Amino acid sequence: MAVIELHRNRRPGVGARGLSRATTEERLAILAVDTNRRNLELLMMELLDRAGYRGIGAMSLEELDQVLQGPHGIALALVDVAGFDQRIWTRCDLLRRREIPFLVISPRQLAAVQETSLAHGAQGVLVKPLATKELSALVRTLLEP
Amino acid sequence: MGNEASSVRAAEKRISTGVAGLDEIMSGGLVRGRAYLVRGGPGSGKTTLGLHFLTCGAAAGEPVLCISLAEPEAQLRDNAQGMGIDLTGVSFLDLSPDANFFSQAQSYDIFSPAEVEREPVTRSIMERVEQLKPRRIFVDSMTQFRYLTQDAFQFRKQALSFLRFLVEHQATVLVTSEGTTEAPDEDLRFMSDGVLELESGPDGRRVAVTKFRGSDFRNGPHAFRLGETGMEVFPKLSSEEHGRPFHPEMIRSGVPELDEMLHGGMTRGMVTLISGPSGVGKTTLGVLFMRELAGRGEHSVVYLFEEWIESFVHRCEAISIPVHAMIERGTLSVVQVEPLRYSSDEFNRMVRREVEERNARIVMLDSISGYRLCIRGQELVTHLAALTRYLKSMGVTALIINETESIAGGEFRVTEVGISYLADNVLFLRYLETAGQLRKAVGVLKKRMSDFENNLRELEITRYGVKVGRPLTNLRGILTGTPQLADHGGDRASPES
Repeated sequence: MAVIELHRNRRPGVGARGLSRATTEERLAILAVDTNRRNLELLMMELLDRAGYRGIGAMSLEELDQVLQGPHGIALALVDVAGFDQRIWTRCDLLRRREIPFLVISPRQLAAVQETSLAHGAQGVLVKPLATKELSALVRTLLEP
Repeated sequence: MGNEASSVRAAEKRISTGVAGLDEIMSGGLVRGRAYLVRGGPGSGKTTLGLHFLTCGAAAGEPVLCISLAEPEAQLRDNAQGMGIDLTGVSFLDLSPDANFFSQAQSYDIFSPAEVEREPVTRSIMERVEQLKPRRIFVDSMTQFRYLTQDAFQFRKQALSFLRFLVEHQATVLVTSEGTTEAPDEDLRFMSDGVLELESGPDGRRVAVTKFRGSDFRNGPHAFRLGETGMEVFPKLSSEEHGRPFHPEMIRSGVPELDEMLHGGMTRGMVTLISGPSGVGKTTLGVLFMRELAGRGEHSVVYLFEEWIESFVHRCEAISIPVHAMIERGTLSVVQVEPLRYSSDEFNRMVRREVEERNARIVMLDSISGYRLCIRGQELVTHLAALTRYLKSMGVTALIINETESIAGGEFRVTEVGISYLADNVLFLRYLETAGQLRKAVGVLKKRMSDFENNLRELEITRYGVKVGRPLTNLRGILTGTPQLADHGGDRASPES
């Protein structure tokens, strides 16, 4: 089991809305799915950690299943589909059924990936490389009540 | 007084690049507290120059820093050692990727490298600079920074603020850039205070200063060499920068008849071309003037491009010119120049040393075709003109030996390389046919400062020395290349002569 979990305190002054939530109750959890360990670390470090979310990572379908089986309270998922086979779409369906909003990250600008992602319930498709600022802004918007 | 004070201030502002020839090109060195760009392809010598720049500061006890983004510190140290550069006192900030980078498969694609790596790189540079407070910083290379920014605009902004940060910390900065077509570096050229371009081609390595804010510099390109002692730059000769007063007196050959032909001898500081076919005695004639100067304790130098020193010495000794003794007394240097070994700028540097350090008063190039090989196919006239202009400005007499290809017959030509206009004096030697015998004759074709005799005279080179005979007044066919003695009262005025 190699689920990476990071719990860090939010830095003061970042994201006013999130701040009140974070100080009053448990921070929002974001699930990051990526087969590349370094990508996963960077997602956690550059984005979730800095913005003060609780990051949960999964590097394989098995790990993803494990996370989804347990109690998790995930508010948003980021799914990098690179390295996964067709079965990743069934997990996307699962996320949709569980009402967990998710963004698909695609290695290239591919119409097929875009269509399939949206068909399986993705909120949107992002193409790598991502820009940290834009990504955190997008995540914040999606998590707004 | 005011001028003196300002020149002292100017000197204080300058710091040496660590390469003497380069300082000369840059009017004394880099201006302190500025940022300079060194451009050039792979293997062009950028890093070597940077290491010279750092060691020069370290030797003076300044804190100096090498920021390496591509080459690891150990490798830099190894290479420096190979070139005899002592890196003691040079601090390193090694930001090159280590082997783990590859083996741990730490590659990523979720964010661009610009997003991920810039911050740690910037942070470690800032920390190190603030802690060490270096007076000289060498960054190798800025091209790596380009990959840490997303676009040209970001790079320009980042690079400018990076250079400003370093300079504000009282450092003089040298940065390198590869300037490839994939990553053009015009932006860096704009923001640097000076640009040095290094290039290496089939005709050797060259360096040129193409920008130098707040200072004069000597236009390039200038030759340089990367050798056992690192980088050595050979500035191109410029007569404006040199010059010393001299008295335009006559230099005699010591052969009364020859001096008579020249109406007293050759004027000091002039260029004399001695032209003629192979084996006629051109070199010998030149050495006569050197022997005379040696007798007065003055120094001369001969550059042999074709002949071996031993053969030259032996040949002169055989006709009673005491070259051996002249060499021993230090009144003559004989230098063998291997073809294709030196560039013309390197050769000029050798000549300058003889002139400026040993006070050579005659410089003889033997011969022009060898010199042509030496400058590796470049414009012969341009290079020779620069050299002779320099020698003239220094009051040095130049003797240029020119071998004409045809031994006899053909059109009468002073040289086959179109350089006779550079010469103030032209002496020509010819073979002469009389009564079935081949004899030699010498004549003066041109003498700028005075009148001269316009007859040919017979020249004899024997073991007792050089003998010049009485004027040959009954010659015909001089311009055919093979003069012949006309019969007395014969067809001296024949139309074909």
